[in-house]
Amino acid sequence: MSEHMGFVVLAYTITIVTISVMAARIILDYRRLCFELEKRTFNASSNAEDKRRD
Amino acid sequence: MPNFLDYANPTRFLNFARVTLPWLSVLTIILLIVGFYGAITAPADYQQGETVRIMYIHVPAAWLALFSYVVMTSASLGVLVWKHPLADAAQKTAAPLGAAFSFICLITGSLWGKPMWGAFWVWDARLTSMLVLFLLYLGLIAIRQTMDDTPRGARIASIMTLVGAIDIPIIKYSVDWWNTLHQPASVFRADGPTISGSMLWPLLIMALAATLLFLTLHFMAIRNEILRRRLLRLSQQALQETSLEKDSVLEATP
Repeated sequence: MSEHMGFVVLAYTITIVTISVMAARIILDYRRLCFELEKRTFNASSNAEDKRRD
Repeated sequence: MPNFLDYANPTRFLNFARVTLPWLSVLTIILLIVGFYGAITAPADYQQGETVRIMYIHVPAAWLALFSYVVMTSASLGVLVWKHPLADAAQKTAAPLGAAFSFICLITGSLWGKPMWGAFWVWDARLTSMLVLFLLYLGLIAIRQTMDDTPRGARIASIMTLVGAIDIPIIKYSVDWWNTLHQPASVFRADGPTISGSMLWPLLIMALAATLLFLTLHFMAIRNEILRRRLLRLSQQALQETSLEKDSVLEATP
């Protein structure tokens, strides 16, 4: 095993962690936005329904 | 003749992203696995030893850091010339990706430099211009965060991006223009690559995988940005309706 293997492992670890964090942030943001949009659309349609009843 | 701008509206982009993203994601994962396998199994360099394996992530990260900025520059032209909402979203969302790739490039370069040059950092023209690019990305992210989603914020970020584009040819040609510690180009050369074929193919596959990774994450981030703006518009509409209702109740009260 090379004496510099520690540098190689550290470089790959930092790269994988950085990309994973970036991807996870984007995916979680997408889920949150979809949930918020669904909630907002549902509220808007139920409000419109209530107004019609009134 | 159809106008290509007609095809670049947000709704069409969302449909396009829904169809392409699953395929793009699968292809990216496959290429990343093949690329990592190639990087691990490629022969060690006769001078650099095992440290050469850092190149398989450092070089694609450097290319992608530059590519992200080229994407941002093109999108900035779209913002300033056509005031296109999709170009605005593309410009805004490419900055964090470019910053991440610049960060990976600087860190992996530093981890390669210590065993090879004996120092984590030298104020070399290539390294310094790359650091400037990373700081440019951070500056552009900060501008976007402080200016919210106003057209003025988009315009300022676009002008800043165009001004910062001067750093791209400086990074590319720094190794030719100045006497640097960083080695000159060894892949894209007029007389062909100087790398052995057994080391070149994993590098090219990693570069392709990194490009697809950038496109996948960029498409996903643009989609998020479009949804975020829709959500904001809906919130503003709801707020307006509520205040109108309150006004009408107040007017009706004797």
